[in-house]
Amino acid sequence: MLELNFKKKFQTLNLTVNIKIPTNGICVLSGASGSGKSTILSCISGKIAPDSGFIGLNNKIFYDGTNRINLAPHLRNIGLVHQDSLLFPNLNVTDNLLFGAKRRENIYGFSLEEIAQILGIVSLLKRNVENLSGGERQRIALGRAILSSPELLLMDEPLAALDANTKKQILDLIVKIRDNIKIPILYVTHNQAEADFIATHQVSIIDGKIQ
Amino acid sequence: MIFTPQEISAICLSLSISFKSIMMAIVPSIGFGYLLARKNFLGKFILDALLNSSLVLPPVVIGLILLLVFGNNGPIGKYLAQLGMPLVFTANGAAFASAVMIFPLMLRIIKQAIFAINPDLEFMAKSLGAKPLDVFFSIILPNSYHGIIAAILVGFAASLGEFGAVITFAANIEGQTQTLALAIYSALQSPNGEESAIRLSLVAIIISILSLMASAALQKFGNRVRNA
Repeated sequence: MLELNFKKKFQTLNLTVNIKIPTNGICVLSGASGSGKSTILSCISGKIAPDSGFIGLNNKIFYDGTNRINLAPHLRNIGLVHQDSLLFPNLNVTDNLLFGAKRRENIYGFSLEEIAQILGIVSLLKRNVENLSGGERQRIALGRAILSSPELLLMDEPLAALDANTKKQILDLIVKIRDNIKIPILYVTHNQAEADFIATHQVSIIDGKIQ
Repeated sequence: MIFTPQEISAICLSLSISFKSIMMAIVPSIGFGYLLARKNFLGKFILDALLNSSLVLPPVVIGLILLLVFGNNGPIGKYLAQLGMPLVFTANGAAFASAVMIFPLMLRIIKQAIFAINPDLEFMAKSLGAKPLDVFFSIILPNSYHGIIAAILVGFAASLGEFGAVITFAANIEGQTQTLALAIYSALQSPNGEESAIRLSLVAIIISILSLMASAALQKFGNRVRNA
C-alpha cells in the first residue's frame, strides 16, 4: 500500500494529498497540466520534500514530517520513467539497463536477456544511446527501471514525446509489464484514453486535491 | 635550433613544474567546480569570489601572500619546513605557486562542464540506487571529462607562462626554479641574450600550440568514443 498524506506548496500550487493506493496493477493519476501530478511523483521519489505529512510504501517510511524522517532517494527502491527517458549518455544501452541492477538486489529474478526480449531491444544492447529513436529510448528507460527491481514504478507522462504509433507499442508493453512482471505502477498522464487503456484504478487531481 | 644546457634545463624544468602544478590543481578544481555548479549554500558568492581572486590580483601579490603563509616562518610553511618539505625557493614551490595561479582557470572550465550536465540525470542515478559518491564517479565525472581535459590542457599551457607568482615565491634559481618564462626574462636581462630569449620563446609558443592541438584532438577522440 502506498500511503500519501501530505501538503506541499510549490510555485502557485497548493497541494493537499490524502490517499491510500493499493500496490497492485497500475494506478493512473490524471489531471490537467500544472495540476501537481509530477510534484506528487517528485515527493514520492524524494526529489523534493513535502512541507508536512507522511509518505510510506508498504512498511517503509519515505517521509514523516512529525518525526523528521526524509529517506534518501537511493534508499527508496523506486523506479522512475520520465518523458525525457534520461538515459546516461556516457553508458551504452546494456550499461544503462544494468545501472540499477548492479546496485540493488534482484527481487523479481529477471535477467537482462528476458527484459530485453520482452521490450524488443535485443538488437540495441551494444548500441550507444545517442542516435536512438524516442521509442527506443523509452523502452530502454522502462527496462532500466524494471531491472532495478523497484517496489514501485513511477511513470511521469512517459509517452508525451512519442508519435501515435510508438505510443501504442509502448502502451502494449506497459500492459505486458502489468500482467506479466507485476511491478506496481503509479502512472501520471493527462490523456484519458491512455488512462482507460492501462489503468486498474484511477485517481484524478483537481484544484490541488486528489479526488 | 641548438639549445644550451641552461636552456634545456629551463625547458625540462618548465614541463615538470607545469605537470606538477596540474596534479596539485586538478582535484580542488573538480571538487570546488562540483560544489559551485551544483550546491546552494550561504556564502557561495563569497567563496566563488575568493577562489577566483588570483585571476584579478597582481601575480606578485599572490606570490607575496604565498611567501607570508608558506614561507619558512609562515603559519603553514614553518611546519612544512620542520617536516623537511619546504616550498619556498624550491621546484615544488614553483609548481605550487603556478597551481594557485592556474586553479581559477581550471575551476571555471570544470564548473561550466558540470553545470551543463542535466541535474535530472543525477537524480535518475540516485533513484536507481546510486549513493551520492557513486553518482559523482559514475555520472558527473564521465559526463564532464571533455571539460576536465580542456581544463588540464589550458592549465598546462598557462602554467608554462606563469611568471609573477613563481618568481616572488620560488625565485629565479637556474636549474631549480628557473622556468621557461623566467629563463626568457633572465636572457633578456643579460648582454647578447636576445637569441636565447627568442629560442626559448619559440619553444614556449610551440608547446602552447601543441597543448591546444592536443586539447582539440582529445576532445575529438572523446566524441568518437562516446559515439562508438
